[in-house]
Amino acid sequence: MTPERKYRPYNLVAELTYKCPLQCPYCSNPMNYGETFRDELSTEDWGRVFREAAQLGVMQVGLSGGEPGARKDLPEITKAATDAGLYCHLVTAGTVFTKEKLAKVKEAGLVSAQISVQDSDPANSDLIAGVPSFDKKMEFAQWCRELELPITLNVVLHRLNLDHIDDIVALAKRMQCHRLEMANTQYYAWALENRDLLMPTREQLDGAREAAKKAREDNPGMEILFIIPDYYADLPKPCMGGWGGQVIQIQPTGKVLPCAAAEVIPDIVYESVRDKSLVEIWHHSEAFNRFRGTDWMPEPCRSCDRKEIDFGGCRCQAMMLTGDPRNADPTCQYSPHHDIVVEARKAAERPVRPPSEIVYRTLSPRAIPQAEPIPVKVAAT
Amino acid sequence: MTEQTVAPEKTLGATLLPMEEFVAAIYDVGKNFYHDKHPLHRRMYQGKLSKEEIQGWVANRFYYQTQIPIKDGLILSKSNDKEVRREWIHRITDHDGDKDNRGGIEMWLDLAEAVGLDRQETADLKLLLPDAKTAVDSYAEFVMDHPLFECVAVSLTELFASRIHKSRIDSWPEHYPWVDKQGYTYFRDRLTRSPPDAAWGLEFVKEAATTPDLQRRAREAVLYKCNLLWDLATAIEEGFSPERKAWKPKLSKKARLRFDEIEQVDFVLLPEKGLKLTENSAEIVKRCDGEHTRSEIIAGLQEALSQEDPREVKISAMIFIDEFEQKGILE
Ligand code: SF4
Ligand code: SF4
Repeated sequence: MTPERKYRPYNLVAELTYKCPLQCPYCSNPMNYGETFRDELSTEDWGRVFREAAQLGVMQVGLSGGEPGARKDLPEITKAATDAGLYCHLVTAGTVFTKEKLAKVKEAGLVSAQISVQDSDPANSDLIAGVPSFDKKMEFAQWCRELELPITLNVVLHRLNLDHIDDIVALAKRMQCHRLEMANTQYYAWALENRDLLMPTREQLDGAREAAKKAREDNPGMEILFIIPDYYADLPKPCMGGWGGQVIQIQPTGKVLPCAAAEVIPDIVYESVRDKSLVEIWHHSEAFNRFRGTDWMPEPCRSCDRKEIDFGGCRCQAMMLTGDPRNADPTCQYSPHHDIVVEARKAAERPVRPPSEIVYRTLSPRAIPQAEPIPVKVAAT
Repeated sequence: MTEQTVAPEKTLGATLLPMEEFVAAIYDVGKNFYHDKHPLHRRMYQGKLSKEEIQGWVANRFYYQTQIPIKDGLILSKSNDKEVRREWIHRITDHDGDKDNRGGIEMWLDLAEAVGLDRQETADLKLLLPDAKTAVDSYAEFVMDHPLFECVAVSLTELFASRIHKSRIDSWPEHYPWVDKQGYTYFRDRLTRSPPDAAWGLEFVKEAATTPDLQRRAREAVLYKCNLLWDLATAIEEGFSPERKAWKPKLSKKARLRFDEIEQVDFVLLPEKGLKLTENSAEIVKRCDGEHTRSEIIAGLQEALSQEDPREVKISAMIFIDEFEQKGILE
């Protein structure tokens, strides 16, 4: 297989804007997200990016953010992606739409919508989101049903909602979702600031996992995903088909990353679709090639027979926890740094800050003490 | 991205397979084509059948029960080995009963009563569907037309039967609490009688299948039987659920079929994932256009894949369609 064939992106995450009325304390947007507002890609830019993505082999695009609905040109962007032959999936909090706008986006080619809800309990959901929003989300879901848009419900899990799996599943059923994604918080960016408030205990996690398993058995018609935080696993998961393997993430300004967290690796320059074509960046940029293949691996990965299976785990996590992105992901039991992860598990059993001390995602969060580095996990596809 | 496949085909008959592989090929037929994967049975374990459908199944399957001793009597007449006849004869009394045993036929009528049917009406075959009758009647004909070896091989579906009886015992009390527990005796009874019969049959077939052609014919016999049971299930499903019969599968709103130029294969795209289709699976999905019923789709497919065994095509396709329906990809 030629290298051109071996690395084929199937999926594009298009972060259209970092504007968002919500303030989730685990938001994966960069801390300085406000700096991107004046510099977002235009409708035409996205059109070109989608065509180049399709040429590379991308089949699906997640129109994401921030809040993609904050873009006035969302219908035009959706149409451009559809015209390029991509399957369009909207990733939204659902609070900034009107039914008319959603109808326009649907008409432009949108196939499905993912709605995020912060908890099954409306008051708790609003507390976590930082603004009253639950009712609006339910209204948005109602419009999706009326417009016959299939709904995925997404709930990011953490200490404050992990005991509510049964209610979350019941909510998903009421919303007539075909898919429910429950992924535990990944600790970087804003989540890192709130780590001691969000990290679940082992007991919570075990209970939630059981509840999710039972829900899956009881609801064969709904696809239920439950993604455990990988610091509670003993072997790393393959991250997105390997670095630069299957996924492209593009920020609102056009910067192209292999995954949402990739900027934690300080010495990589990520190129922009403003300067180069996506095809060029995917195949030839130093950033995308840095951790492709296995030649870059030091021990223990170099001589491990799982290296083609998990690609040594997450580079960003290795960076954050060990200071060197080439190291084995420390969630791996063979990693000499595995004790850091074991420590992080223990820390979760200690008392935590009360929820009143949530650091919300805002343009000027109040200063808080720098947290210790802890595991990071990149969204699995 | 995961790959969906239509069950692989084992070709026997070219060379003599080592015993282990031959036995594995027989088990493969069960794995791929036994009726526990039929949508009727899948819905049965999941508690999705209505009372009428359960009753319809019990009433029609009763006709099959009545034919078992008849075909076993025919088989008995084929052997000039008294050891074989001594072994085989208890299969008749198992169903007809004797002084120590009520017998499978009476036990099945107990089940009929337990699901709310009239014992006499069931015995008189009042609810028997023509398609179910056709499927079952072919059994005695097969036995008349084939030598002992194949008739024993046909019975090897018993190897796969325990799991289906077991799953009924496990799932019925929860899903169909209105069924009187007295009715489960037949399923329990088969759990003890079926395994030794199956083991004897397998030993007999293993010993006798000494040529590539006999191996092929053994597999063919098992496939024949799987197909019979399959058609019986389809007849019952369609006979008692007009919606299922009229169903015209099509891709659901979240799914898109797309041919990929790069890999030259078809994909079904879904939110956050894609399924790569094999050529045969793509043939199925393309026919699910909302304009054709399941049986029309299968007829078209059998024609398009004329080099393949039509029974295997039918069963594989129905399982595939059922799985895609389960996943919400077809509706
Ligand atoms: S995580 Fe919350 S704050 Fe961040 S973009 Fe999504 S909805 Fe907005
Ligand atoms: S040593 Fe490296 S390749 Fe082996 S399991 Fe651990 S992370 Fe994966």
